[in-house]
Amino acid sequence: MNKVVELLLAISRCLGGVSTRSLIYAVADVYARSYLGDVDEKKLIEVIAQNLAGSLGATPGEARKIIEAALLCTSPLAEAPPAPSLVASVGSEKAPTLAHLVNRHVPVDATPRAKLEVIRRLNLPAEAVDELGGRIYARGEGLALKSAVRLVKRYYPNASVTDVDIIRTAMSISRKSLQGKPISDEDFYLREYTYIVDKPVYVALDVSGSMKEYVGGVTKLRVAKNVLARYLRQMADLRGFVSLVLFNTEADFLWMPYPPYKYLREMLGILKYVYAMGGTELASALELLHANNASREVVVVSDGRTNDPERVLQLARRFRRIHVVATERSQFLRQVAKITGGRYRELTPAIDLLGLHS
Amino acid sequence: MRLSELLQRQPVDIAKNIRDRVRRIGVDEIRNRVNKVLRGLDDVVLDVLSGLMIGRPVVLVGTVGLGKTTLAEAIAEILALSNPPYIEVACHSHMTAVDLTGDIDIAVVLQAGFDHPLSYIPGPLVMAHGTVLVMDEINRLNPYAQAALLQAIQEHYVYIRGYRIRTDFALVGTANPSEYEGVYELTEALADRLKFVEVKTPGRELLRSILLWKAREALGELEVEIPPRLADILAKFAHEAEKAGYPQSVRSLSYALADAAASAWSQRRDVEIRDLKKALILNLPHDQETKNMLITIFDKAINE
Repeated sequence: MNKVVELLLAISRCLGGVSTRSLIYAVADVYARSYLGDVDEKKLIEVIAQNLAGSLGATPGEARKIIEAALLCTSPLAEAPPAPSLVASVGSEKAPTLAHLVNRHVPVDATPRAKLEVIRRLNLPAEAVDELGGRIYARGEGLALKSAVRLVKRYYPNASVTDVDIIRTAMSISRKSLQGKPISDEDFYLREYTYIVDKPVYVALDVSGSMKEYVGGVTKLRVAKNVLARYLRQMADLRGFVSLVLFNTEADFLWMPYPPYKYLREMLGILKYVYAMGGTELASALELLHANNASREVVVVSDGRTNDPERVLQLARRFRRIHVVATERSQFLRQVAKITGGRYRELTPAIDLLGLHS
Repeated sequence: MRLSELLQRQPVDIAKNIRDRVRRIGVDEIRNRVNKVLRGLDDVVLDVLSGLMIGRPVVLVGTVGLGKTTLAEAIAEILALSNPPYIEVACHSHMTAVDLTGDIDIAVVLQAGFDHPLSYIPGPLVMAHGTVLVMDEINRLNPYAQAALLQAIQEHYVYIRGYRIRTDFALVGTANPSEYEGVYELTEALADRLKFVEVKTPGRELLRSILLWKAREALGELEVEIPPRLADILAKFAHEAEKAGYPQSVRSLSYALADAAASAWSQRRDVEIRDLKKALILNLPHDQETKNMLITIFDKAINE
């Protein structure tokens, strides 16, 4: 019996505390299950996962992945290196981003839901706790839809209600009824969206210490978060896929391409925890994206104060299109966008990321 | 049921009853009996039973058409804790707490008094005392109804207009993955009290035999030969589709197979692939776009 209890305690420690009730039931369940049939190592983990799934807020499959990852964590994660906070421009100070912290405990391609659960249980650095206090505003959604609509199509069976272009449809129907003609399928107009929707968009967000600088009362990071939140909301309407990469000196996926219309709440939840520290190395993000075959529809949000500009320019040539959102005016970033045929914008609270694609 | 009887209800140790039943029937016998209705879910059956044996509510999670509800009913029937063996509720988002607990009818009370059999109409939570409660699509319950369920699970009492009624039951729920539309998430307190068991699509060989078996069962005494190759193609298609992110319902697939056979029979010829394709298109519960995608996957499965 001790072995199972030890195992559960280790899991609980690694996950930063799990519901005691679930742990107790898990022990009892393992024994009840072994009365009914054989329980090997794999089955043991599965039974534990079934019992902890509820308190982890994940499906049993996801819970098993989380637990398997937790078993690998040998030292309690409370000892995540407390990196010195620095508000510097260029530097090579290493500090783990949120993405690195999370991916120690779950596979990199886990769903945003599983990742959010893990983040809630992590011992985050003080910066993240501070960030969590702030609110994310995503104003002005919906307006930008126009820019992404490619053409208007006549009705076809099984079309989604949300795609109906109400104004045109209403006009057409009223015209027909004035003329006294019958109304047909021809009178319904449906929007069709541009190509960005069917390809995943990769957003690379700079989370180096310099993002903590203030512009007009708020930090650059906060402005970027608000803009990203709005973007995610728009992408949810457009049914696209978005992936987020965080980078300072190193880069990692905060989440792989997932549809925001399924995971919007989780994505916004995770976004709240994103914090900034460490030096900047834009090349690391580009390398990671290139290794994952993301050569087009990349959006980089950065201040351009990178460690090794030469390398960035070299890497950028391999990309088809990098759109750049600069947090301050930067000739270098303008050049990066130009090389790849992407667009260059400066970060303002009102910027519309969706406009980059059209 | 009279209110006075309900108020005098004695507690029942439902977990102990289930343990006794399992010990008396025997694990192998339970497995045999389940196999008459469903195949390939032996492991899941044991997981459900072990949860119920320690008094923990169990929720079966999986996409539609994998036999979650059937499995819950089969287990309840085998356990046969009382008569009827289970109470079933199909949960929906407009269900209120009163729908689950039942309520006192004031008009009857005023005329005939509290103890008239009709003055209290019991809900499923109260009726399920001493037996199994099967809650279909449990994650469609809204937070208000979830609160009533939570109270019954936690305190074993249900409160109706100030009256406290004892109720002990074994809960087996089913749930679709929360990606589906119109689904509420379970509250944290409720989720923490549940054991979640995943029901997966069976392996290819097993799926093939299940499809043949179920299709033949659906066709009944109709004398048609179902070529095993068609079931093979369907099983392959199901796995390819699942890989592409469209998990298929075993129910739809087996009915598609039976449908193809029936339509071929009505035209007095042998079942062919084109029958299967046609039946598949008619039986898939998807929108046009998804169907087109699935048809290409199906064509690929044929050619390989």
